Amino acid sequence: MRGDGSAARRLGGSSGEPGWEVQGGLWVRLRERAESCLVTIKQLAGMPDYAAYVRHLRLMHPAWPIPSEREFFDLYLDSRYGDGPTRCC
Amino acid sequence: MRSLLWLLVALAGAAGWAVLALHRGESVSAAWLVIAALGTYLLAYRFYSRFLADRVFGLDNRRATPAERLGNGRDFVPTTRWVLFGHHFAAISGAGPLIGPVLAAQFGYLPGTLWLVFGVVLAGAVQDFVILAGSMRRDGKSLGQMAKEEIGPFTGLAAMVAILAIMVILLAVLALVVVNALRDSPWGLFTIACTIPIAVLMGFWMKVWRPGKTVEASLAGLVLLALALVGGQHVASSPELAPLFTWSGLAIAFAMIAYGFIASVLPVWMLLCPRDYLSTFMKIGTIVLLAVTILVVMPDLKLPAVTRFIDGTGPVFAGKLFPFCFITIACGAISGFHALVASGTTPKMVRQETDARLIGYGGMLMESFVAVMAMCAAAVLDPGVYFAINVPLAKLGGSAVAAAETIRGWGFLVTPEQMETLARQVGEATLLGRTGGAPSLAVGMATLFSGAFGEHLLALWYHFAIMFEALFILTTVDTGTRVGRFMLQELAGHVWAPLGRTSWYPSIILSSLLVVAGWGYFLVQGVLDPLGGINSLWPLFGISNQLLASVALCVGTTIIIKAGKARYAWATLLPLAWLLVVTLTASWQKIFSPERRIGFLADAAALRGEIAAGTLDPERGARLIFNNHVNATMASIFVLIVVAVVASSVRDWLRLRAGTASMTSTETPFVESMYAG
Repeated sequence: MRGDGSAARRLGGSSGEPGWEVQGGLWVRLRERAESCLVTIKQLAGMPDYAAYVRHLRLMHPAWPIPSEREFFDLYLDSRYGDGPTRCC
Repeated sequence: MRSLLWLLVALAGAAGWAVLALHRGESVSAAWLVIAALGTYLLAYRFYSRFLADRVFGLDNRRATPAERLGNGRDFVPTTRWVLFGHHFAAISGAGPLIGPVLAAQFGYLPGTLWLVFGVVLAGAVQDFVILAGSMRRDGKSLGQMAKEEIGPFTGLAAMVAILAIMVILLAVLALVVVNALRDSPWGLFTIACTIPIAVLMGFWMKVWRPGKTVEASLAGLVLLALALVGGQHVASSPELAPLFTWSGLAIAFAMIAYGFIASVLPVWMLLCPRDYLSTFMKIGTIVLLAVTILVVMPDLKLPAVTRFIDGTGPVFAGKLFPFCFITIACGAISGFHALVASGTTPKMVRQETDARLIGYGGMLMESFVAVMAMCAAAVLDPGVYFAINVPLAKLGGSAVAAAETIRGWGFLVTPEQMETLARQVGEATLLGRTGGAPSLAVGMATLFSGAFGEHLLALWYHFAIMFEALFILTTVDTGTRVGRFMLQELAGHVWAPLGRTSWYPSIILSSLLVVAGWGYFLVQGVLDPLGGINSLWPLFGISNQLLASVALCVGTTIIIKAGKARYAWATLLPLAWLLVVTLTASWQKIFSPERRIGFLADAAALRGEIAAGTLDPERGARLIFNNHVNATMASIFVLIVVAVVASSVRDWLRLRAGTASMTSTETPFVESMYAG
């Protein structure tokens, strides 16, 4: 339930033994699939992905501090429910 | 090969319409309704929406969208188009498309379905798409901002006042639907009351205990919701607990007003955000379930295609087929409110320009399909049962025996025993005169679901359907009150700056009080209305929603003309003309009709007569007269605003055509997209 696909990918790349590789590969693939499902479900309800936000910050604004998941959630609440209708009749 | 496939779709759609149109007397399968609607949607999407996207707007994937250019990972986020389609659909669809068709079913299923399907294709989906595409080309600006910048500051202000006034009526009428569904219903009230602590619990989960874990919290919430639903049955059958949850309409109304105020003042994470998640997932899940059920069960439509009530004598709401069918079904065919979402969060998330076609046009087709399913759910009921539930008790004659007699007079059969058995089966004391559309929709949905999953669960499905509707009506009530507060604060900020600060507590409390007082007034008026309130408030809501759509179509037309595509301006001008004809006629009739069932002023005059004759308590009469005057004033305000907006837009278009006004639009300049290629 981490929601951070990149961490899982690094984990998959670092596994050593060949037998473990297959097992780990499958496990990692399943886990990644589950995580991407989770991200999709969140996006359906209008919540952006934390991992993607961190990637965006690292790429575009390397000097900016990276917010924790808790801070990110507050930022999201502000922009989602700040103003303007979000629901219809 | 491709064209052969489209020919088949066209033939299937045509066959559907032909069966519906030519079938008389016997009942016809709902499958034909669904086939006719789907065939028309597919054709319209393939050909008309492509025309709008390619020719009128020239959507171009080489052009970067705001999500790409301004991407900040929070609100400007490029989102896969099917995910955004789902998100946009969940945001635009609420109780409106479910309830409007159920009420309009008093004319029979055919008029409403025709308006739903052809209205959406030529008007509703066009509006949503044009505003989405226009906003997407302007960095996701809101409808109000676009009105101000494209047409003028006056239009911008008028649009804002209109939105606020419409919000007040919308919240009142939706709250009234919930009140009518929950009054004297311990099971329903218990379940809905449980959603509040469940939401608070979810709020703490996703904010304090496990920050950002919204999906886990929602899953937990859904499980608790299911428990609350089952628990409601035990509450209703317990002699100690049932009276605690058996509330009168007025008590529920005041509880909802208090709830709206608290939700607007509390931080969003505590109540509003978790409710939003709960109702989004419930909505998507239930609508998919309903669609599958209708396709599997393929029920027969028992309601006639057209009833005698098209002459204006209908007991559910007053007025003839024209204009009132087109007012009653607002959402589902065209809804001005969607323009607010299509120029809100969605345009900031579109990944590629051409995605706007699926999201804007396609999303609205989907909403229309939901409305068609609601029509099916109403039409699978016995007509007698339909009228027994949807006609105010005062008009039915006050008792079950009198009701059966009244309904027989209209040409439909229903026995007191039949209504009693049905009420017992769904776990209610009575179903007679439960106006507002929600209970009869719930009976229809429960009939469909239990047809697929087994008869014995009828009561559970009924209360599930009630909870499903009430849940997202309450979500609209809390988010709407909050948005109303923001708009009021913005307007008040022009008068005295501190009032405009959205985080200053005195201003928050004052403006929240004003907003709940606004819709609360209309809600209480509706609850106390001898004819149930839906009668007068639903048309007012329909009128206001369609008039907002007119404002949106004015903005859309200006956008199209300024883009140098004046030759295609008919795409928005035709629906605009139709809406103006419908809404102005309806407003005129609601205000000035000499028939007291329709005209607010005529009713006021008749009430004065009753007071003079001594048949009506003067105090109560004075209040009813005052309400009529307020309703007439509201309708006049809507009309004046829209006439002003249309007049200033037309002046602008003529000056643009004569070359005396600047063609400069506020469209953001072209930036090459990285996704292209």
